[in-house]
Amino acid sequence: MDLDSNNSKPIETTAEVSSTVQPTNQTTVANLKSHHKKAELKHPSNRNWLIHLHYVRREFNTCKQIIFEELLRLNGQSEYANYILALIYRSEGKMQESLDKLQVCHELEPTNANTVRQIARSLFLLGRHKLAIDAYQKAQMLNEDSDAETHYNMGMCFLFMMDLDKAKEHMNLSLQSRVTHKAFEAMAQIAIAKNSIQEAIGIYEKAVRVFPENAEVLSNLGVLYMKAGRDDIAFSRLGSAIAFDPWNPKATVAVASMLQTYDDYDQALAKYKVVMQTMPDSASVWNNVGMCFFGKRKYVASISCLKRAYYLSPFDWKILHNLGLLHLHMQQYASAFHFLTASINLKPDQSHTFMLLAVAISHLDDVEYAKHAYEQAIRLNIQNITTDPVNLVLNYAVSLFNHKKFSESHQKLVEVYNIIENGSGVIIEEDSKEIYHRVKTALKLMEFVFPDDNDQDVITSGAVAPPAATIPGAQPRKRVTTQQSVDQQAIGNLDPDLV
Amino acid sequence: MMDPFYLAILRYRQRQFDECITLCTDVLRKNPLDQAAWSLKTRALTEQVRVDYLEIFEDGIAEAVFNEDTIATAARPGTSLRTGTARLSASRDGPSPAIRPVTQSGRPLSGVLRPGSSASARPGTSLDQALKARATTARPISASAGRHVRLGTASMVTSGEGPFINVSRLNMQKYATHDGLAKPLFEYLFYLENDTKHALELATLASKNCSPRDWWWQVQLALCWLRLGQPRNAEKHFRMALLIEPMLITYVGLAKVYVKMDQPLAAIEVCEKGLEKFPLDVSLLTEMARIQEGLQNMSISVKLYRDILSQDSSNIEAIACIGMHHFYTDQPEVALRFYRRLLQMGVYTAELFVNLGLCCFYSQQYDMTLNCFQRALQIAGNDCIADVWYNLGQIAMGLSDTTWASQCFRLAISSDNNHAEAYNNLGVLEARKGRNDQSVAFFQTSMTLAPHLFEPLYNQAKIADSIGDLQNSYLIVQRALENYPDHADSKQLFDKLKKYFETM
Repeated sequence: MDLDSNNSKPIETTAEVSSTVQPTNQTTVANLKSHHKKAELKHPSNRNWLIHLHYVRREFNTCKQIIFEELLRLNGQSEYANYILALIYRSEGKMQESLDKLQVCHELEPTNANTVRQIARSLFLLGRHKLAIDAYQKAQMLNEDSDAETHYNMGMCFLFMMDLDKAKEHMNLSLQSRVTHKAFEAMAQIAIAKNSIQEAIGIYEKAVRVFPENAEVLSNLGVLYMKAGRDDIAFSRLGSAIAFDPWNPKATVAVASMLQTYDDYDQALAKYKVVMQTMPDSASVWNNVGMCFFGKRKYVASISCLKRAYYLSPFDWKILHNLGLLHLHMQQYASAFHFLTASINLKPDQSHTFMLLAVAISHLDDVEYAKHAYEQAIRLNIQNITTDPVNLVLNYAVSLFNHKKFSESHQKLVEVYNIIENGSGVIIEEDSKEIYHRVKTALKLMEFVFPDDNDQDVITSGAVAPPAATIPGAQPRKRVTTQQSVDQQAIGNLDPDLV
Repeated sequence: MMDPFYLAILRYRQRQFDECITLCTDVLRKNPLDQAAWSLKTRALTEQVRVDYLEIFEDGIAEAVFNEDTIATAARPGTSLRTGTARLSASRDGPSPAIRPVTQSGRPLSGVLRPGSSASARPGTSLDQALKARATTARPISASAGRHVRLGTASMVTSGEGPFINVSRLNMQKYATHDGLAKPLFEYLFYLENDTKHALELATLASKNCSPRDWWWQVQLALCWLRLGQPRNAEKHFRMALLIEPMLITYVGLAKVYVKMDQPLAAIEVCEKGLEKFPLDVSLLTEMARIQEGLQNMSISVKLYRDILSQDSSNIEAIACIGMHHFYTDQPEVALRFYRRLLQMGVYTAELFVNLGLCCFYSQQYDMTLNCFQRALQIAGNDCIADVWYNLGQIAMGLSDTTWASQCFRLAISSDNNHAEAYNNLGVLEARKGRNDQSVAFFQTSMTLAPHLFEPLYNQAKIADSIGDLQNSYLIVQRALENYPDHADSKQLFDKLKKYFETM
């Protein structure tokens, strides 16, 4: 039966189905043998128990054999046999056959809401969401009591059709009739699609109260808390997720990356090792492992991990950014430049990448382009603050100083001072402070005036280092590490050819 | 005036076979029954076309597909070179298929092209699939038989005035009794005439006549059986030769026979026995290294190749294989050293320059990368230009220049329409732009061209899943898992979809 021919009314069946299901007047050997048992065979559903038994044991082949015998005997008129056959076909992935069998069932008993629901489900799996919704509505008409499954599935259909409001409505209805964690998860998904993490957290909190031992829900909740910046709660949620399912990769990666942000690299590495068992080819895990080694100052190991991540997922700008950062540390500025430009090609709106690029260019002695890069970084940072403005401007000043543009450097340094003065809550790292003072002292010797001249800790003139050589391009401390979602696409491998 | 026959022998030693043959022909014109001259001419003719038969010995496409010599169709993991595509991570040694690409038969890509390294089809693959196998030394369709015939006709032309020996009128019985004549005659029949049937006849008679029994004839008998596609008989004769006198060629031949019968472990055992008699012999070590590579025991294979290098420091195969191993285990700098060594040795091919370029790129020697690729493009022939473009596309992707990358992949496809990897990568590039329909079309092409890759399958399943076509996604991801059972992302997707399909 062609599905397109009756797509408006998928419930209808055509006459040919029952005839194609099987040839009619054939007597099997089994039938001949069991002549004396005819009394027993009369009832059409007397072997349904056997079918059921084999089906629940997942012995699909035996089950199918019995079903075929039954259908032959009953001339295709057994609803239950057809129904189970449809389910088996579905789990084998033969959707069209499955749908055909369900249509037969529907014809045999048009008032059975369950059959209609299964038809709808088949349509849903085939990606025909609109038809599926129609079928579900029909099922609801047949069966008055509202049922959680139907609403949930309708919600899923709406979700795939990107009709978020309707999806939410149906999910709510589903939760009212029966509480399932799937419905909660779908609700949270809708909330995230609407960009409201707080709402999603609320939904998950409710779910956790009902299902306190569901590792999946717990880990999702933990990750959301991480995104919202509530590390303490996130940690406890993820911890309980791991307690219930020690092999849950999502929770483990999330915990590890949190440990990493708090500089506990050894613990984080141990966690990643566990995750590696289940996903050896995940670029984000390799990236995080690389950054762990970076934190431990094992640069070679770090580079080789990051390179593997980059090999596995060449279009991930974070990995390229990290590689650039690492090569800056290794003082391989040309390589750093390449990685950073690649990263910028992929994601041109990150001010931090531009800042690193500027540092690299400044070390390659092209001060004009370095200035361009800094300006771009500052421009981007105004729109969307992702980099510490103190570090950014300070780096600018240092680069200018290194290239003997003292007056411009002085300007920038004054700007840094203003930022520190105005933003009361700005926390300045020790390193930055030290660099700030060193540059300032060096400039003061050249008789530049600073607004904070009454500052206490003026370094005595004898201690001033000869400037350009010693002042490092203030090394940015920020790292881009956590990236939980593991959804990169596999790229065809490199194929260095044969000799 | 020097004795012409002496001169002929001299020329033969100097490997100036043409002159040797003309001299012998003169001698034979004066005295047609001069056995020495006849024998020398036969040998000179043979030497012109002689190749190491065991080295080029390769299953033809038909033999590979309709093979009946293997014992078990579903062999246990690690005991067969043909079954079982990707092994589970527990038993795998070396990089996973996600890192190191695999050939059509599911084996990891090897460092050198040699007969059977990439083409060998596994049983069950259809014939047209086997025919599609790319990049073999000979085009797969003109398998072994074709090559022999070609060599045969070529030698006929050089002799000018019809065949030197009229095979059908030979009295085998007579020649078989005379060892000095029989051996050159046999080689002539085997290598130049490619008349295996007559060669076999001669060898059988000769091996019966000679006493004490001669290992040489046994080996030749085995070679004849091997060429006739009867490895079991060949094995018998190799074994007999070993009993008479253990020789190197016998061990190598026996190993080849076992590989043909798909008993790699037996082959390794034979090689080990051979190494007891001939310690550190390069050809035995090479044989073992190849088999271990096929069995995916990478570290053992590389160790063997290193042993070879300590004996013969300019063994191209060993250098290339070790280099490739280093490349795929995240040490492009080390790989670069090996490939540079090859360049110093005078290997000058597009493939080598491509490899050098890739190694340079991944070890951040950017200034050399494009130079290498330029050189590769200049000297690449039609058979490998597609791969050069493809790899250049990888460099472009490494620099995140997607336009350039997609141009490269398109060029790769235009020079080889069967380049499945290029299709896959084009699909990924399209998917990044959000053009799902086009990318699915690319993935589908890639999938039909190379059913052994898991990437296009997974990519396609992922797209199908995202647009809600769960049914297709479910079916396709199952196929991806068949190709690479350990792929974590595919497994995740499969588990997610399974829930949809098995709940009510």
